[in-house]
Amino acid sequence: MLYFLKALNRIPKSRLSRRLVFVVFISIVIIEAIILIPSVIRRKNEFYDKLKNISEAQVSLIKDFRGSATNNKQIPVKCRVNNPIDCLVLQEFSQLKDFMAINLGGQLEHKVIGGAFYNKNGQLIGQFGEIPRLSFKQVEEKDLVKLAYQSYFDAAWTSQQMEGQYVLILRHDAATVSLELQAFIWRIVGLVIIISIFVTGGIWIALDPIAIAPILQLRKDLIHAGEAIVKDEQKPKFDSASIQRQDELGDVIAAFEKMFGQITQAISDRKKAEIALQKSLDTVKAYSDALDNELEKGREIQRNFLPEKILEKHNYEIAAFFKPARQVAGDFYDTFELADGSIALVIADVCDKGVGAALFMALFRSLIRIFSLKETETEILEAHTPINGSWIGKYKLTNLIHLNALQAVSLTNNYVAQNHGNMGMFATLFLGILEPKTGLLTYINGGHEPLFIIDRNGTIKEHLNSTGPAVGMLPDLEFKIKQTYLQSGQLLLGYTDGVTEARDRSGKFFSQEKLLFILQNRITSAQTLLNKIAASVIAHTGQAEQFDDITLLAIKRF
Amino acid sequence: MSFIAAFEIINDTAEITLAGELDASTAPIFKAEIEKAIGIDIKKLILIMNDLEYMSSAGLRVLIFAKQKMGAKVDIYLVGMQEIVRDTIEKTGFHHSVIVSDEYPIN
Repeated sequence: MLYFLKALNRIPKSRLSRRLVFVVFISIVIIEAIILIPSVIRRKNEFYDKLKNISEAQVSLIKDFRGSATNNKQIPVKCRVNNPIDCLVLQEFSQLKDFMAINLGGQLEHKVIGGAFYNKNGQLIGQFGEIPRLSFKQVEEKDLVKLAYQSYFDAAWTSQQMEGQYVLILRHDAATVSLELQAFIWRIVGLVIIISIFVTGGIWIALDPIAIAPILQLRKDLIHAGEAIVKDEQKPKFDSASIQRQDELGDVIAAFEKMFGQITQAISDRKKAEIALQKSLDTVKAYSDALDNELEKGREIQRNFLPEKILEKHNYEIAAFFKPARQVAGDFYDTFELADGSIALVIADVCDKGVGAALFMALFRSLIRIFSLKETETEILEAHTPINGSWIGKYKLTNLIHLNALQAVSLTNNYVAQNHGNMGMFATLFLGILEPKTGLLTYINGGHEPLFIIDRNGTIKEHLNSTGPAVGMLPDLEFKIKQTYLQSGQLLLGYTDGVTEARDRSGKFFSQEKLLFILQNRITSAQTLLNKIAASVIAHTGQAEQFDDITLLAIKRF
Repeated sequence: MSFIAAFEIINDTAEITLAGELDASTAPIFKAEIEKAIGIDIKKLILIMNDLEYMSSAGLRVLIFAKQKMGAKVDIYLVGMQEIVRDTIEKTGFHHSVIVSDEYPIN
């Protein structure tokens, strides 16, 4: 009972049931209306037939008892023919309109209110009361024996029925037919409404447990499912799950359950994948961090292979710029002093980049230093000075010392080519030995970019081009020696191809032309010049990745 | 720009056609092609470089590797080098150890 009340309460709120019930109601009304119309027509004809039947009984009564029922008190009807028998029959039939009204059930009454009497030739014998609309012509030619008109009903008895002699047409008062018919229609309509209300009401009530309640449950479950998915909760208890049905709604509920299962499965799978991915990302990150850390250590160690402090020498300014492409580099520069006070200048580019190049950089740098600084003949002579105080023989000491230091290049070449030949490692390397007092520069350029001697106005005085191959390619290569002077006010500039081959985003090289263009200005100091070149190269590279190490070395003689 | 190295052997000659930019990232491709030629009994290694647009020191390193591995028995020809590549090779003096030619060598 409680459920029923609840359902009843829910119905008006349910748009679906309202719509369904409305459609059902309208359908019933339309069906009933379709049935009602012919039944009303049939009913009407039945009423007219009843009226005619009564009249027929009365007519036959008058025929059978002709003469006996004559009422003498009656005012005679006007006879239009000369035949006295015809006039007599007319008088007898005219009594029909004076007969009492007969109730035929309900409001229906039989009452003749007029008539017309013809002979078989169609000649009007006489009329009485209200004149019928139905004519002799219509009866004889069209065989029409009944005619309802407004609240009248005319019925005819043909000549065959009247012993072949007469035609009688009677007019009945049919007002009661309409009344009775209206009553009939009201009864039927009332019935239809009651049936419709019961049927639709029944459907309305039945809809709730069959469709509305499960749909509302399913709606609630859908909302819960959505919330559970959003909040990432456990599967909620679904009310609709308790509904076991073999119809379309059951299919929908089953499909919903299946879909929810698939969604939660997919989410859980994705979550697992995300966790796995995060884990592997963490692993990669840890690995990459460790690698970075190692490279950072390598970088620190490598920095140690570069001069900690640039060499300072009276009357000279030495400056360097160094920017590796990666954490570790293949480029290097070096400045150190020989035993006799000469300055050794090194700028080099070990082929390739990264860790491999960095390891060989350390090797090249160390070998050049060791071989350059090895005890010279002079030192040997000094260490073993004769008792008389000095060696008597004259030596071109400076040249010898320079030559000795430059031997470092071919010694390094042979060491690398013989010990690491199958690595194919090499370095382009410039080693110059400068005598501070005179500015005499003895050098080997092993396949390196040309160095420039520039005067204080920015004019290039000399290109120190390659004098031999790159170092370390093949054993026993020949490295030629060249000499020049660095005059007072002049500057020696060395660079690696990381400068000229620095690329911008579109792949365009910085180029030697651009470098030369920068040099065409008055030079105040070595450091200022290097800063200017470095800034220009970095600006050229812009957002693009730095491809190669950038190294610059400059020495200025005051 | 990508890099392409196509390897071919005709009798006692290994031929590698190079195109694109040969730098640290593409040098291993070139090295893999060179390694195919090592161990085969050839007399000539011909590198056709008309379409090689750039060569870094990493590329040169592979050439030196080839020279070291193949020794004096094998002549290495560098054919049709563009100026920028020729500069790189001549700067390091490696052109003394190979045969530089503008035309494909005909025996």
